[in-house]
Amino acid sequence: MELPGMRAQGAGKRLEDEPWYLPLADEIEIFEAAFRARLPVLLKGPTGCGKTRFVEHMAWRLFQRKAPARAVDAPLITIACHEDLTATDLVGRYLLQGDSTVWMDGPLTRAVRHGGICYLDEIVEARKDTTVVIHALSDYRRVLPVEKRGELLEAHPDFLLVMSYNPGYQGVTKDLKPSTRQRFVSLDFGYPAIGAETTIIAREGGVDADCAHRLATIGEKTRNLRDHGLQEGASTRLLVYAAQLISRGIPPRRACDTAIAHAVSDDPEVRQAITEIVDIVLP
Amino acid sequence: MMSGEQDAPDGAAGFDEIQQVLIHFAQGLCALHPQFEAVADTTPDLLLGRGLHGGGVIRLPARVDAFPLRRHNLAVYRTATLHQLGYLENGTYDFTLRSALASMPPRLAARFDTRAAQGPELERFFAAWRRPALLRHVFALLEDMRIDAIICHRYPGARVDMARLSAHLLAARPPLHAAPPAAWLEGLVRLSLGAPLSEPGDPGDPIPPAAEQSAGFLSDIVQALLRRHASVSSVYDSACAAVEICLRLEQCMRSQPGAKTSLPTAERIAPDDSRIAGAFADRRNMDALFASEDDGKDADGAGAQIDASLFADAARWRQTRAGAGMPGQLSAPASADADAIAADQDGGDDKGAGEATTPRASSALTAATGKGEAVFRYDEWDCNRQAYLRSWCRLIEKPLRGADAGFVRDVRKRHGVLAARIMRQFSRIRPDALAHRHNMPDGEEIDIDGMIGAAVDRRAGHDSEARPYLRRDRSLRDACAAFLLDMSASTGFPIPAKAPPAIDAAAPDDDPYLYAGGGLARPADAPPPRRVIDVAKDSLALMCDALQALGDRHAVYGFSGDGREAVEFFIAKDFGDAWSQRAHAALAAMEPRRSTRAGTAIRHAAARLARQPERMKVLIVVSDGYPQDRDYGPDPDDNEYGIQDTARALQEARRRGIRDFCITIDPAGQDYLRRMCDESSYLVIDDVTALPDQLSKVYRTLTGAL
Repeated sequence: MELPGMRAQGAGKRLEDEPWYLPLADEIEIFEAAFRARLPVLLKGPTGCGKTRFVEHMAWRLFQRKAPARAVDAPLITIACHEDLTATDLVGRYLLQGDSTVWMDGPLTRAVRHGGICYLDEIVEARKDTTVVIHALSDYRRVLPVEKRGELLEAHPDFLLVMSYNPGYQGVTKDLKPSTRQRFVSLDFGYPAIGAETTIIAREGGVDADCAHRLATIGEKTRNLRDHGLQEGASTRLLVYAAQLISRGIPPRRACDTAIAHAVSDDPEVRQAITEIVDIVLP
Repeated sequence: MMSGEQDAPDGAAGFDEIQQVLIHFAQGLCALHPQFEAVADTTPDLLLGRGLHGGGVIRLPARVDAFPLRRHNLAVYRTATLHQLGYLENGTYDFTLRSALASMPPRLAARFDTRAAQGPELERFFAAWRRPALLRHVFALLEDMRIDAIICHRYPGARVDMARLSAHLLAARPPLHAAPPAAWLEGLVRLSLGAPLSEPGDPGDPIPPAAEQSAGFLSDIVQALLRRHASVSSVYDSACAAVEICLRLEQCMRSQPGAKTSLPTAERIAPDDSRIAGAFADRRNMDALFASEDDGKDADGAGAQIDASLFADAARWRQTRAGAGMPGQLSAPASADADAIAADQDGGDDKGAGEATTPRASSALTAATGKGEAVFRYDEWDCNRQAYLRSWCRLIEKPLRGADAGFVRDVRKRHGVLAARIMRQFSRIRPDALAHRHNMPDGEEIDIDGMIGAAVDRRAGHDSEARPYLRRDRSLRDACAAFLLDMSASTGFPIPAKAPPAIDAAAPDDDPYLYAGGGLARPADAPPPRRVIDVAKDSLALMCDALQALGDRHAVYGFSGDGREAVEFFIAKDFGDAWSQRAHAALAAMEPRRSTRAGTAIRHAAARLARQPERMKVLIVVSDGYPQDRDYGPDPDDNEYGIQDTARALQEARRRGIRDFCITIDPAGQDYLRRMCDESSYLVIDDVTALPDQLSKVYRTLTGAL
């Protein structure tokens, strides 16, 4: 039950309009097949490469597209995981209402009960004693124990569990246990090739193809600096930000300076090198 | 370049201030990491970045003051770097003679005599032509033009800076006084700087009619070259065009027996014009260019012979394009050494100059030499150039395996009293990491969330125990340590014999080096002389025992090697390994080997340590002398290079959040350790037998237990 004025962590999203997504390989087909087979999905990739957008697109595709095979109340429930996230936050808790108590489903329980995609973003940020609650959901059992209600909730047929994380940023303690990761079908995401990234930047950033291509070229160059001054090169997201600034009248070099160079590094020499690259790539 | 101060007039720019930026610039632009070198003499070619140096080194002027504005002078560095990277990116150094001849019309290819051609591929190409110096000169010009055209197409933002520099250098060129073919060659130079071929030098000083009439045939070849789209042009286009031009120049020479082949010298044109003299400084006497190999002359500096060893270095520095810039993707294995590359080239094979390794210092390559081994490449700090030598050292990681599983048992027996004392000391170390624990039955603060949850649960009819408190608990220790042992040959030296210490029953802990059971050994039963490494191994064994009891994860590594291509890194016990008999035996197997390239070993140990989850990471280096190796620096007798590189490696470790400490048993250690380490991060031990005791003390201090 959802109380008026209160939103549990993990708001449901209705996705009236199609979240635009450019497929890079066969990720859509694999995701749809995993959904049909009711297999949970793990999305791996660096920041800003399109994982969340992909999940939104798939939620729309599966539940909101014209004449969908199925309809659910909240096709996508996203939970941003963090260290203080508890199992109670996911499953639910009793709340006071006047003189009585009412049970409120957590976002995970809501998705399990009513169907839809429950998307745990950055799952490694949550503690292991929290993420263990998903184990029974992510294997053949597809059940969620709601201990405070003494309930063993069977997942709705249209429930799908999806998680994401950024490998390579994590230390040993923040990596997924094999017992968790081997319950999921994994999709690897990376930054798109320059042609695809140009299309994405042009569409999302509102700039012409030439400008988008140059931004994509800049992105590609900054990624060469990974482990050579940068932990990660400029993400597609940052390139889209730069494009959006340009489309709103900011000079291109200034837009790249604020959205790219200053965003990816605090080292003045690395930043200047990126600025030089921007300067020669842009006309 | 955006800094406002860079618009200040009188703004000469220096190489040192821009070097690091250029290193990142090269890496970002092309995923390449060449060396950068400052050259004191500034020539037009140096400013333009022209010159085929092999690709491993980018030579730049030490100082640029060509323009009044500082940012324009800084832009010269970028332009020059772009041009030299352009050679690497666009296949100039991938040239092979076989491919060049195959790409030419047969009538041109037939004119090459490849029988005696030796050396790098480009040098073989030039040598196989009748006039090697002329071909070298013309090819270099055309290839420079091709690279510039590509740069302008691919990086439009660089056009303005390139045009500015070219115009500046063009203004310093001499006028076209000479008759053909010398005039045509000067015309080519001018064309490469953006001038039309037939542009007159000074007003009122037209090109001689012969030159003007014949200029067209060079222009059409050059324009055809430059018309080829940047994405499809290749070094073979330049080669073919250069051959065409050389052929026509030679034909014209034969058809004009009186044609002068010399450009006027600077003295004859304008003896007082330093501008013209300077312009001639980088161009060779035309007589030498037209000398054929039959004349037995070589160009007097007409394009210096390309040093074969530079191409070998180029192979090391370059990165395969498939591996460039892809996170987590490994590149191809390291190429063979320079001899193999030269052998390939001598055989006229189509293979390029080898594949290069990834610049990522921690990537494991597949060129390991034995089972369980892995090869890594690491940078090295060159204190003379104040820059890193990228992927300079090859480190081979080897797991140690030994047979003496009873080693640690013997150590415990040998150092019974000391071992007991160390264990007592470590057992008193208290955990120091605090953790907030919610929902506790007692604690220092009220846990509001827990209180509410408990109240609500009770209201809902659940019988839950009230746990409304928040407590700050001391949790387990959050520290780990890596011990890095110097396994150089000198650690095999015996420790000087000491008089056996007197036994003092009143202070059992003060005399740890008595053998358990006391008494003096009879000479006939005296054990073999203990070596430095034996004491070090004993110390590490005792430390591992203590850390095992304490619960701190730890690793024991050793290092040695022979040259920068063979730095050895031994793993006796890794972080994930149990302190088992296998680890005991591996520790026992640590034996003296060769040299002490400490910088590389420290970088690798730090990389392994940085991956551990503990909050506190400690690296303790145990050595017996200063860092040294047969090629650790340009002068093997000068230790400064090795000391500075080791200091840099320790600094890099500290930047990764690692606490470092160096212990040496070299009495002269004070001299160099104070330059390598922070004041509180090293210890010189006079008496090696004190090492076990001191090592445990150092650890407890580092981890805050003292």
